[in-house]
Amino acid sequence: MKILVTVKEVAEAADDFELPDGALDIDERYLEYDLNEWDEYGVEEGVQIAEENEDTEVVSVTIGPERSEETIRMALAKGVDRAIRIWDDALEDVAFLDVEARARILAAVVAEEDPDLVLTGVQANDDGFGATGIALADRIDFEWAAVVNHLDLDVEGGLAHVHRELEGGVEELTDVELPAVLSIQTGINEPRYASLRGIRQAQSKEIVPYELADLDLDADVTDSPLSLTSMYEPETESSATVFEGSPEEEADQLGELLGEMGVVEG
Amino acid sequence: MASEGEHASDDDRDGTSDERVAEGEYPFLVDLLDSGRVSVGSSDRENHAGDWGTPDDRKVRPDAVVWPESAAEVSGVLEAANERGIPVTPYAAGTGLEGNATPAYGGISMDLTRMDAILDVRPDDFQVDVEAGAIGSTVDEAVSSDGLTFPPLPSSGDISTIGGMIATDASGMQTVRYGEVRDWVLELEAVLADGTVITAGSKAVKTSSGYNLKDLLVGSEGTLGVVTRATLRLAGRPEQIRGGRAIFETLDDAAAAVFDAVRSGVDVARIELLDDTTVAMANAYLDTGLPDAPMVFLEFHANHGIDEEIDFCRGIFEAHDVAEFEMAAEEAEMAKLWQARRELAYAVESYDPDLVSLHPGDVTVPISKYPEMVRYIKELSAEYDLLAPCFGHAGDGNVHYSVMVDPESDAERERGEEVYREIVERAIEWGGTATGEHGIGQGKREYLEAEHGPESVETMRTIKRALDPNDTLNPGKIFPETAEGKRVTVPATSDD
Ligand SMILES: Cc1cc2nc3c(=O)[nH]c(=O)nc-3n(C[C@H](O)[C@H](O)[C@H](O)COP(=O)(O)OP(=O)(O)OC[C@H]3O[C@@H](n4cnc5c(N)ncnc54)[C@H](O)[C@@H]3O)c2cc1C
Repeated sequence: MKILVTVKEVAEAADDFELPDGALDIDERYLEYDLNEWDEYGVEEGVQIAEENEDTEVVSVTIGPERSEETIRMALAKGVDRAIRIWDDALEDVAFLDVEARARILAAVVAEEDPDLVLTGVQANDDGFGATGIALADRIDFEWAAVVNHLDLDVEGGLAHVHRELEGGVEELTDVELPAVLSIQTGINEPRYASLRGIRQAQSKEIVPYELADLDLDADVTDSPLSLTSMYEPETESSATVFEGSPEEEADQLGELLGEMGVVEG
Repeated sequence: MASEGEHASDDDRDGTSDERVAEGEYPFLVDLLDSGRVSVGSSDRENHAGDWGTPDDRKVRPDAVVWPESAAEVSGVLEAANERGIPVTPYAAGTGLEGNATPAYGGISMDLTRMDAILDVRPDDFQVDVEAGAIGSTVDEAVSSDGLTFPPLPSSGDISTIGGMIATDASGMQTVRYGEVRDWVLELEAVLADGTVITAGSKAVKTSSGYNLKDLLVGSEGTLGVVTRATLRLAGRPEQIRGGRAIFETLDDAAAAVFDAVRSGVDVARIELLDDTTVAMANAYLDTGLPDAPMVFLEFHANHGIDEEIDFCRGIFEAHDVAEFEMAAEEAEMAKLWQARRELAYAVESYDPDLVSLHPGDVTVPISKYPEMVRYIKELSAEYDLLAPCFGHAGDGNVHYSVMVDPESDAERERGEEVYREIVERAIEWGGTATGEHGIGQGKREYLEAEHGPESVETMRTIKRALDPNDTLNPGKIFPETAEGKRVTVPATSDD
């Protein structure tokens, strides 16, 4: 069996970042890179399946510049067998890669790798579209399930028994036929720490670089009806109430305020 | 002494304001620390009046609380306090179990929790430099992306500080494989009672250079110096981690199995025992539906061959009639198997609202005596008709026990104290120690001489007087005479 896990390096802005007027992105120097949190769970789920089932290969795929290799190696250190990284001059020039473009690129990788199962994160903690997995499933015509928080794989029967987290604490139990795309929710497992040896061994695992042409894709794969028009920091509002008086008086005032706000009754 | 007769109206004002501090007993503090980092307010003082193990009637409010942010500030406060004869008690997360951080003689409580930076991770050297107030699990987390870990963390690793662990020479569940905190400290920066800043130890993994001041400071419970920075050694995270649980029919079998596994060289990373009383408490607390039977919790770490090691252990446990030996396939399942052990402290505390646990027992004996030690505690518990749950880091020969008594009944309290004392005395008689990891603090002062002999304790006093002649740092701890209100500055006479 082959499992493809999509992973993404995401940037987090430092607390003191600045966004000049008219800028469409936060400057590099304010950014710190890490593996997308949801993908940590996808990687762990893939690796656990491989540990429980012989002859299972776990391949991770990412769209990202060379810099992202450092982050991707963490997945290799945790037990992913090999990695694919797609980058291209055409991608370098794109300010904004939308869901559809990502799905097209990943679909080309699926065509190349022919996995039985694709695991994606529910969303990425940078742009947060939460749609890549499902858009990919649609494009490659796989079965799919979104927001999976429990997975029980019947490899023989080619069936994934999944729990899906719905609104309001409701859980749905579904059987999905393989091949399938599942978008993985945080909390489905406990992602392991990489071991010291794992990190060393990951240095010699393969990260295959692909350009668009290697996947029979043209630069226009990145064309999008969406464009990024502006980026700004929303005004945040906060209010503080300072109570004054003896502790008893302060407690009374707090109680009154909580009552007014409907936090407590009375 | 702690201040008394405070004016109630003072409580209504901000205790950290410069005017308030300047009007207080130690106006000089205003010049030493920025506004907001000194307090004479009643709630700050109350929050530093005792630690986790201090009963309400033993709490002592310090006269002021300070929050230094550098070794220089620690030094400034100590120098000034030492000149004026004011006691200074280092205070970190306050999770100590023996009143270690209780400011027994009032004075200044020095809160180190603002010095919590992770200064430098050096994965190539397996080292990290941290400030003393850093929380243990934060340090462990900070080195995890390099495949490293700080292995001797106590069970309280996510609620206690590196400085507190160094000061008590803490240890934890993984000590059976990795050793105690002392073994993982390479170098310390510390401030002595008169404000002198020293470094002790070395960043080399071995050194034969001079007196070993580093190991003198480790375990000194804040009585010799305030640790401000530490260089810690780290271990590689193992490739394979497996955990599980074994259930026994009798406590004798469980204890014998632990002893046998350790003496046979089974490479366990954790081996914890819970007696049936403790299991019953955990089951009641967690509603587990498990049998109220003695249990042993296990974890194995390896880079290869973990299954062979587990089989070896299983074989040994089978020779001791293990009823159930269950190993988890993955982390989440392991966490589930271990739940009863993890939630224990809270389970014991909330078991019976009418009973309180006397002092937290911490005896440690050579492993060959471990089964007998556990049996002895259960026999005493039966003889005195008092509940005494036993658990702990079995692989180290460390038994934690609580003697549960009705706090209203003096007779029962007295019986409880008697049980507690007999257990400690027996442990010492068998070549063990009154405290494997919590320290002497206030709670175990009376056993110091029995354990080390009067000459050794006098040698300790000589060191204390040499480094802290005014008894400025954390007075009232460790030394037996302070239990009767004397100070270590007063030489003990031979007929004392
Ligand atoms: C639920 C629970 C489980 C526990 N499990 C374990 C366990 O498994 N193993 C174990 O060993 N202990 C355990 N403990 C006890 C306690 O957590 C440890 O003793 C811990 O090391 C104390 O750290 P702290 O930061 O809370 O220090 P505090 O309690 O604030 O202080 C402890 C002592 O250290 C001194 N001190 C603190 N910081 C410094 C400093 N920077 N320089 C000099 N002196 C200083 C204080 O004066 C005091 O004497 C447990 C406690 C609890 C509540």
